Amino acid sequence: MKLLPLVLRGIIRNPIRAGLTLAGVAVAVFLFTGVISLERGMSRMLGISAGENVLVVAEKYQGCPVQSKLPAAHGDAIAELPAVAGVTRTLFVMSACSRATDLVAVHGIEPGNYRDFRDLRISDAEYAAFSGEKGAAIVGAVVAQRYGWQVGQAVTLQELGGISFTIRGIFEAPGNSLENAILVDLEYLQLATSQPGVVTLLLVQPKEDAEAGALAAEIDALFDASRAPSKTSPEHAFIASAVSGITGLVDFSRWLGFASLGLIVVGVGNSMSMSIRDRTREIALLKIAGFRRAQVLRVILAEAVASALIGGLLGAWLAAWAVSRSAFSISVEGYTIVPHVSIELILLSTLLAALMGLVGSYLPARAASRLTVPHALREVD
Amino acid sequence: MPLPLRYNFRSLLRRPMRALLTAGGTGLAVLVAMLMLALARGVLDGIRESAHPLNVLVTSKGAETIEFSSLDRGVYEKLRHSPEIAQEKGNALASPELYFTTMAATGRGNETTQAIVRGVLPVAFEVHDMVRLAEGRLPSAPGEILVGGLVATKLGINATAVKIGESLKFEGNVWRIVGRIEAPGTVFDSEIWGGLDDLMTASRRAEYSSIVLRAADPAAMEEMIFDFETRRDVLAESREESLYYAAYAENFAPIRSMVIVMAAMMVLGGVFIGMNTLFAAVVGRTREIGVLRVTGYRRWHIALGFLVEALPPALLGGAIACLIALGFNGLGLRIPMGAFRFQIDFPLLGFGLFLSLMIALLGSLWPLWRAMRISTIDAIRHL
Repeated sequence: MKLLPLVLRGIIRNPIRAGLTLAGVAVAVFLFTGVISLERGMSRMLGISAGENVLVVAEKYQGCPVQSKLPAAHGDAIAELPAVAGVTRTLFVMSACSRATDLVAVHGIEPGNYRDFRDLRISDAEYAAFSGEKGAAIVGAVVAQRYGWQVGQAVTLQELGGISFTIRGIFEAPGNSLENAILVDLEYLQLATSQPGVVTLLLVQPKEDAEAGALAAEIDALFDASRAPSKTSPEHAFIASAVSGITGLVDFSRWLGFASLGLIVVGVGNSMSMSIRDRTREIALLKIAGFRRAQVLRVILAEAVASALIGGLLGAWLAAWAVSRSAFSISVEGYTIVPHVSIELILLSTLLAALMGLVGSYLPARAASRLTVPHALREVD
Repeated sequence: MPLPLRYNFRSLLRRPMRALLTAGGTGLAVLVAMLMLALARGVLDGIRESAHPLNVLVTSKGAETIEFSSLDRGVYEKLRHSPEIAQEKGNALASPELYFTTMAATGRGNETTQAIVRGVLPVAFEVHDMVRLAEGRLPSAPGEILVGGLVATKLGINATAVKIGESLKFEGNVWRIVGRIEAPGTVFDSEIWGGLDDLMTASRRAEYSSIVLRAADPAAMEEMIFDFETRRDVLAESREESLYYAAYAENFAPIRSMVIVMAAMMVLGGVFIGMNTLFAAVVGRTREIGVLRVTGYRRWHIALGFLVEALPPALLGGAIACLIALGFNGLGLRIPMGAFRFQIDFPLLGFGLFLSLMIALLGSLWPLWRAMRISTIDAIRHL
């Protein structure tokens, strides 16, 4: 702590250099945080969108989950299995698969038991109004905001074959892909899209003492010989597999994010080596005043780490602000990934910036600490 | 008279570590920016280049993409005899196709990943003429398939698992690989192709996904689209294939925007490093500036001298970035609608060098302005 004034004076001695170094670190950390926020958004979506202990039954072999087609009657057969606590049926209607932008997605649901599987934040009155009317819908907060929809408004989606509905409520489900969806009654959607008796996915809640793996196998065995064989998997694994197409991009972005941290090593290292060169005489004076090698090393390293910490915090905070303000999201197979910056990510980015600053400044700092007094006093340009 | 170049280079070599660190910073910024641009370009161009300018794509009414389209076989029979369709050796270039995504596993494994499958007739090689059989033969018996050069990347498996003679499991069947197709830079490169009827039977589908027709010329194409749109006996939607893929590519606009912003930020980071270095050079050499002014050099001569010193480290960094980027050339990356290959070509390498020069120039502006503002009297005071 005694060295703190010396460290601070070192940072503010040359405001232009300090400003440029901080700016360089901030830019690198902004990039790193932005890139990692995509990966974090994906994990968050998986964690929130996937119901705990929920099994998903989809059409066997189907690579695009929203195109899965199963007979609704499969739900009745599954409900009769002794290990099943509940089943709900859903029909997805979307305009495309493997797309990267937000698309209009309509989910046909069974209002009676859907909330046993999904945590929707909506008033009971609005949900009751929706449940009691076939042509009604409740819409996710994100999709409502995007299109400026209000409760009571009648909407027709031309891009989805003219599906019409009246909005009876707007729900929130933070972090869940459902916030980008429109929920309507299952039978109503089946009729509107000329798909009577067809569902996309069945959500199954096993009983508490049931073993999920065994139940999944039992469900698939039920339909193996039928015209519509199924593939049952835990919801987390199902969504992870559905969005696996984006993992290549996410992994690549992560590596670019780490490469951008390399800028801190170079930027802080460069700045410190220039700073040391300008202060060779001062270092000699410190040594004459009794500073040992290790103390000189600590002063310089502390200066570098402090610069990186300040720049890092600035960059991470700016990234968090930019991510929260931006409408950027990636949709894969009906699941929407929204970048997410948590406090933990801000701290991680800042600490990594400090570490990179330490790495970058170590060699110049070590060289400075080893300067001999006579050599240092011969101050060179 | 400007400062002699020898003077600038000697100044540069007096501080080799500073020059190397500047080169490193510039190089890193340029490398990341180049790879990001290669990614954006690869994805978007790959989609756009999958179209032929004379192809017409027919899908079912209201289907925005081919995977959501289903066309009755009768539609193909009605359209294939249109006089506007180009002919090759007496056969109309009309290709009915089945397109779907499935979950596939290697012949030896059980772990499935998403695969894209296209069922075709031999005429598909005529309408999609960027696709060629690179190795092996066309399927001649049920259960035989061709794989694109990026299928292994799409499936996230080793390339040896999709060699000719190996097999893949999907739709409940085992499919033997009998050939390898190549269509570099297009979506077809990450697809599995098989016999149309064979795949329709296996996937229990009775309808085609799309029909691709090659028009004889641009006028014929316009006429064909008008005719199909106004016919009452055909319930289908037709459009230029290039418009379809352009619209498809537009869906990746958010990724493109993200990548461009990030590349620009990286360049900005490089600019800050270069600017820092040059500021140190200007401030640390105030005495030298004074001497040069006294000996008759004008302000802009001195500024030009500093600029000349800023360029070599940046160019060195840019050149190293280009060399490293070349190592990424041909590498595959899985994306939602397939896979793409990094293409590090001459225009991109040139752009990388241009970026390094821009980093040096932008990073020099402020320090040079400061250098030009140092008065001779102030500079001499440092003597």
